[in-house]
Amino acid sequence: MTADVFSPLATACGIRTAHSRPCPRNISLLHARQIPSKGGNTEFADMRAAYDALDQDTKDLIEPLICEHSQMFSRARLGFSDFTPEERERFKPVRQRLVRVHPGSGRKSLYLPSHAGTIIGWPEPEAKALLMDLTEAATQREFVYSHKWRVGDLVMWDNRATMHRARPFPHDEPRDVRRTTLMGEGQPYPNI
Amino acid sequence: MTATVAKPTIVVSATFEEYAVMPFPIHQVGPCFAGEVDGIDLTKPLSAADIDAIHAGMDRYAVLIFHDQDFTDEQQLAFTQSLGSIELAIGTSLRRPEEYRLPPTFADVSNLDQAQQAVRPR
Repeated sequence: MTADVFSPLATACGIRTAHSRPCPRNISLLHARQIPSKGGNTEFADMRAAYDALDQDTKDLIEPLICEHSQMFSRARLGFSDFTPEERERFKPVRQRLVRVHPGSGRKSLYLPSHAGTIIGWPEPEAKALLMDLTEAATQREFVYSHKWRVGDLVMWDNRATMHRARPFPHDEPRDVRRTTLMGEGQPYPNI
Repeated sequence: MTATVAKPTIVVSATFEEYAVMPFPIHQVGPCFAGEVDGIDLTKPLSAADIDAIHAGMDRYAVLIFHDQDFTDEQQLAFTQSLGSIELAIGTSLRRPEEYRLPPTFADVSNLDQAQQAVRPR
């Protein structure tokens, strides 16, 4: 199975590419020009509030952890398995701390995008289980804002403090949303 | 916000609470974050105070929503660049270069092809 540019899943992947890049993007701005008659909400989760709500044992456990991020991990989860050598090079995993301090607010934040696939020094099953647990905890309703789009909406979000995803909409209706992005400030954890 | 932290000049490093008077109101719309901003037209050039307040609002709310912004591509680009350095959307799209609908200053996350038609999943 290869990635289909126009599938809803590919669109969902495409919209979340920020986190697998060596230097995470800081702020994304999305403007709605045309929206479908229903569906297509964008859901945001607050990774600072999610961190605050963890118990102390979990905070201690995850504080030093470093993850590897790659679009190959997120795509593999959706069933895409064939990567060209060029894609393997382009999506080479980068290391990111799981817990980061959000520079603007000084608050700690979970860095758990769908591209996070492994934890350095951990066996793969345990790593995936922990990342799934944390993601489930961090995307509970109490941390989620769901944006229902209107034409003319400009929504901007901080990729260092939030996760987001697009919800399904009727495929035969146009959804024209255009994103601009501000350069990230963060540096990846060095590959040692 | 209290009257005791009133500052006549706005500095870039000011936190949200340090603004005695925000140039525009922000209403929280999410459970613990996400703010809706009223009374600002982003298609026009912004003052330094507006820009500082948007950054401060972002630091506090992490998501900001502005309704009824009648952007052209150029205006969206100008607004983005007034906030910082733009990142080009290169290497982020699953489209082939010949399928691009928008310039590389934009990431195209629509379901439209170059003829502006909705494309069903193949």
